[in-house]
Amino acid sequence: MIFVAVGTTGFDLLVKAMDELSGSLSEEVIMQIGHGRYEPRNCQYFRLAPSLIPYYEQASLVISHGGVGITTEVLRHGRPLVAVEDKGQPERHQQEILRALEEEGYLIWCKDLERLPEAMERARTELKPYVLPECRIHTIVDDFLSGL
Amino acid sequence: MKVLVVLGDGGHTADTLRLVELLGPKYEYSYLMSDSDQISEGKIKFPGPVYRAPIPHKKQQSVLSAPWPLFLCTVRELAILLRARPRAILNGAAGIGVPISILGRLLGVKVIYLENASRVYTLSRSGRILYHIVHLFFVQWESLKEKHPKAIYAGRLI
Repeated sequence: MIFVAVGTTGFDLLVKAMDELSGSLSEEVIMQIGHGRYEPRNCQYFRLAPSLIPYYEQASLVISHGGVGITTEVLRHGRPLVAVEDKGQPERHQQEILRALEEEGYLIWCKDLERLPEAMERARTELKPYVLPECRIHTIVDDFLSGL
Repeated sequence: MKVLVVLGDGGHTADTLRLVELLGPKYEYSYLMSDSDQISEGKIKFPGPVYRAPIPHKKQQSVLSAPWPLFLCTVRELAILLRARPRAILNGAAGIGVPISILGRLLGVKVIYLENASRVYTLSRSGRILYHIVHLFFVQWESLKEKHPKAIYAGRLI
């Protein structure tokens, strides 16, 4: 199954593009479309769910809108990810993390919807498993607070 | 020890709550989130009092052009601070965390700031304001540490 997740706001252009592509794909497509206006005609969809994790777990590939929450959640679940840039999104700083994660080979960042099929193919073949750098933030906080 | 955790919306919640999870239940947590935030409260793992404050400014809007929301936020947060009496504030890069961090610093509360993991090359607005004010300033990408030497890079939470 290919899972498409676009967050709360929605991302009509991506949902429409995937809806049109789905006929040519060998796998089923399920979409989470948020408050988007476009409703898919060719695949299953829902608007919001308390957790998307059950869908990641069934998916062979995830395509998302590049939001930070979904992006890191998918990577931690070890699924290949295509993050599609939403040019209508005002929070441009989200691009920073997409660029950095792409440079490390953890996701494919798709900036042009016309090249989505190619991005999906690359996500299945080129990506490395996600490794978080070792985190000591909590031990530093503990040390600081215990010294008070 | 009482720790007040400031939660932002969306992705800002994920790394802050992950840090709370790693710190574990040994602290007495209380939480501050915005009036309009309907998601963060449901994600809290270690329960504690939940306080709410109005957002100090709209996105992309200058605080100086609209000082009234900032004033309301500051008054509410002062009341929260006096009521919750935390020893430390853990601020996860939320706009509502700015006034309370400054007030806390003035009242002798230790302030810890966690820049959002989405920030790789530039600080958020609240990060730029609080960089010189807080006691511990964490960034989650090494590239940010290069430009901001007082920041601590100690890995990433998400």
